Amino acid sequence: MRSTLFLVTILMGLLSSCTKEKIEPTSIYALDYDNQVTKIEFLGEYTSLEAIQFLQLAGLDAPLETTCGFSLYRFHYKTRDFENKEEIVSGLVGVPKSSNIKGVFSWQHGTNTYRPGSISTPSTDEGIGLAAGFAGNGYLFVAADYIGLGVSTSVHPYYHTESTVNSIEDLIKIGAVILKELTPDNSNLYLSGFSQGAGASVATHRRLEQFNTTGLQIKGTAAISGAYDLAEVSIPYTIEQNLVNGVIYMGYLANSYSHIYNVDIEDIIQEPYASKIPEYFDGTKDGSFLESNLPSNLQDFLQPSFISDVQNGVLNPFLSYAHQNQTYQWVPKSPMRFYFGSEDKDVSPDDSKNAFEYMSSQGGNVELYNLGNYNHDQSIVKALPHIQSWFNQISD
Amino acid sequence: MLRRVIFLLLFLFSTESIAQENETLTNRKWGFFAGYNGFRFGNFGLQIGAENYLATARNFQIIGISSLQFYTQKEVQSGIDLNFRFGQRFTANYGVLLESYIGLGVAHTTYSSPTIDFTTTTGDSSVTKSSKWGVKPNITLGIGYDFNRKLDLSLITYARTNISWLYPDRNLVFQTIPFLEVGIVIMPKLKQKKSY
Repeated sequence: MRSTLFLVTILMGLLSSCTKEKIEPTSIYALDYDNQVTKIEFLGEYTSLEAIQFLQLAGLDAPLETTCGFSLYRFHYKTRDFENKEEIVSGLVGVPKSSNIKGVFSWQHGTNTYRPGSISTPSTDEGIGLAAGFAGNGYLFVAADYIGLGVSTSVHPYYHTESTVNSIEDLIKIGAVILKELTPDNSNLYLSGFSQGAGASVATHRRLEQFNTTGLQIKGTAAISGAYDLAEVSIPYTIEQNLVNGVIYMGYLANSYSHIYNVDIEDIIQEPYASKIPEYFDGTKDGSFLESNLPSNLQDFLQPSFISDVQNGVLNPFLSYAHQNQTYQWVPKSPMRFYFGSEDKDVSPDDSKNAFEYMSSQGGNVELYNLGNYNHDQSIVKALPHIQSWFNQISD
Repeated sequence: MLRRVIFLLLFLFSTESIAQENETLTNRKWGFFAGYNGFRFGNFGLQIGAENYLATARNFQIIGISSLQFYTQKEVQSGIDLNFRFGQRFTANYGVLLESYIGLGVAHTTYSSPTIDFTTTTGDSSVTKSSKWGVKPNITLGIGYDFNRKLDLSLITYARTNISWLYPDRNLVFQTIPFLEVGIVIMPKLKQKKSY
């Protein structure tokens, strides 16, 4: 009897979830994207009930509120690379099935070396899970793959701020076009990201406060466990702690800066690994491949002279370029929150603390949140309910 | 709501005491059904199948069902699946029935990805299709009417709500799909063996 009543309740819930107003997939194709979009692919649609179930599987401590279903698309669009050349990149767009959209929510993903695992190839871990939490809560969800991932086969400009922000900003503009069509009186923009994406979120916020081409107003930025100061904090912490993933981070960074700044990889990384770096970080190798083919100890991977420079505070060319790509030495006017886990062994908690201290000392509109004794990956799970709740509070 | 359901079930059970014995019930071993199979309720689909009456009492039956069904949702997906269900049906003596099933199916789903390529001068639109096999556990609740209880008509009408979990879908996650099933069951009577 109880089970029957339970089933009846589920069925009634299903009935009610299917009566929401729907946005037809085809309407997205007809908008004017100012010739910046080269292709749109429909990737599927999910109901609010499915959104709830995805989020349950994600094991979040606190619930993420879901109010509607959503449709997913992969957009191919134009952006500018580190040489200011046009590049076709891709990103995931989640359109809520609601006529009252709260604004554009731009998610910036963390470190990913594997192109088939790009966020625009959605999975429950990232693309669909996040779209469920935010598109399923009435936000127009956008998430750039960045250059070198998704449909782009260039070298990924890992921690090259300018080109990364270009790809994010150009996707936000596309989001703004869709938002204007679906909810014309709304121009809210929310930024959030994790790890590499946290720095990218903060840098995007900086760009848009300096020169906003999106037509949207930043309501808030939530940065989770980000590395904002590679030269002074992140790289020294990686070497000092001999971090488990440090080899991957440093290899990825060396490959990126070698490509962009013509830094010699052999100046940073020892042979026999140095000559394999371009092949290993070409977007076709996943984390497990890299873990099994690269040493686990940074002492066996990095050049002793490079380690010495880092330990002695010598700003060699590589560290100088890393310093150029810092994302914290400015003063945000719109609200910004830094979240971190105190047991983070991938990115130093000091990165968030230092960024907060610098910005707040200059009068910036920033807050710092210690999520508790959580590691890098746990911090995202702990932070997301806070972020959704905060964005819901500040949305008009 | 809870009280209403309890009263309804008490009423259905109470009718048993004034019922007439229906001797034709145990002569039925099979039923064959066909009907509408609405994907997410509103998208067109059809189902056909057979139900095997594994055990029959005056008001209860244990039933095994095999069915073949398809559906289509324009520009999103279409599918065909073979489904096996096991469950029970309670039939009041005046014909109203309630039923519930658990099931497992194997589904072949074709996903549509409408795509527009703006790099061509005309903005070429196309629909890319991809197919995937998946499993489909499901539960079903239904109501209906058995005409044989009051009329000499071996016919049942049913309206069922089915929830299926399809895994994996095109994005390698699961879909929770509600179906609305409306149709009829025809139950051929078995010939009685003559006794000498």
